[in-house]
Amino acid sequence: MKAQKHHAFFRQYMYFFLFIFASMVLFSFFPDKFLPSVHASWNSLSQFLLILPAVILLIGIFSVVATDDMVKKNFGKDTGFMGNIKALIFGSLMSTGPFYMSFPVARNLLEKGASVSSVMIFVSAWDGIAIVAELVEFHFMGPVFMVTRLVLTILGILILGQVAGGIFALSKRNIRNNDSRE
Amino acid sequence: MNDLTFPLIINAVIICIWLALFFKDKKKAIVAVSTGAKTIFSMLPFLCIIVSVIGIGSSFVDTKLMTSYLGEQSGIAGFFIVSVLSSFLQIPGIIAVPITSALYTSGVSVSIVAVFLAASTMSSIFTLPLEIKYLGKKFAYTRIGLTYILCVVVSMLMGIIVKTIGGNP
Repeated sequence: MKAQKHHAFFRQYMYFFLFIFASMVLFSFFPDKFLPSVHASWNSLSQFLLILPAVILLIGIFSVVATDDMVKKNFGKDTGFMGNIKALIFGSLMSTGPFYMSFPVARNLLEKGASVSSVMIFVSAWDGIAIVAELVEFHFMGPVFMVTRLVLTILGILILGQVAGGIFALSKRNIRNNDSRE
Repeated sequence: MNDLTFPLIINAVIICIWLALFFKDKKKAIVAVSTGAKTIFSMLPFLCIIVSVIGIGSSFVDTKLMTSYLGEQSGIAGFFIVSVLSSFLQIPGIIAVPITSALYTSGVSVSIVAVFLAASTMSSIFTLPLEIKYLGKKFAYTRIGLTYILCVVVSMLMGIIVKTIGGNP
């Protein structure tokens, strides 16, 4: 298990070194492009490094504070609009790892009896308005872009949840009857 | 100097929150730092590749050419091509934002930049099988379909609103 993990780790760095090698080959054909490229890369990397401590701590803090247990406690049979708002907030706060990590949590919520619209909102908020990504976005894109997108996306996700709930209610079939496994 | 204000404030605020957690529960605070660091280190090679691609791309691609295809005057075709291509991708938000910023500063229009960011983070056709496995076909297809509509509508509105307010990156 551990060996496998290390293997994956090295493979990621292998890609990186392969990439470095490929770009060296590229630059041997276009030596005059080398300095501008390094300069532009450094510009975006340094912007990222400036907020790196905040990003690391924020990911960590939410990973210990917003746990699966907290979600289970707060959803249960919770439906209606408050359930949707909670789903939005939890999705945004819990989104610390890769986004496909949201699927097991979402499945668990469905099994616990949370409404389709809440779970749909949870997954979308996890992907779309992750709090850490919003922080990075504020830094890179400026307040106008970030705030406008955040407000529009929150409204959009809430509407999306309602529409999805409507679609599921229309077909009057429980999601688990429709499960595609086998 | 203005560039440094936000990072300084945000780092200070979050370090304070972490310190509060540390005094409340030392074990949890240490677990938090190691989890955060692990997450970032597992993304690091990918992040380095993306940052280098941004650098190489911005020195090779002609900005004027990019603006003529994807700029404010480029019309609706570019918008839809970008929206479809980026809904195949799944890029973590933290990494998608620097790419978005690079596109924006090289003259790509607000709505196209917004649809790239929204679609590449929210809808992912590549991970659809995984989503179907966990949540069922109906849930996954409904979500992908509605999310695509959401991305398109939000980004078009973004184009109008941000242009009228006039925000700078």
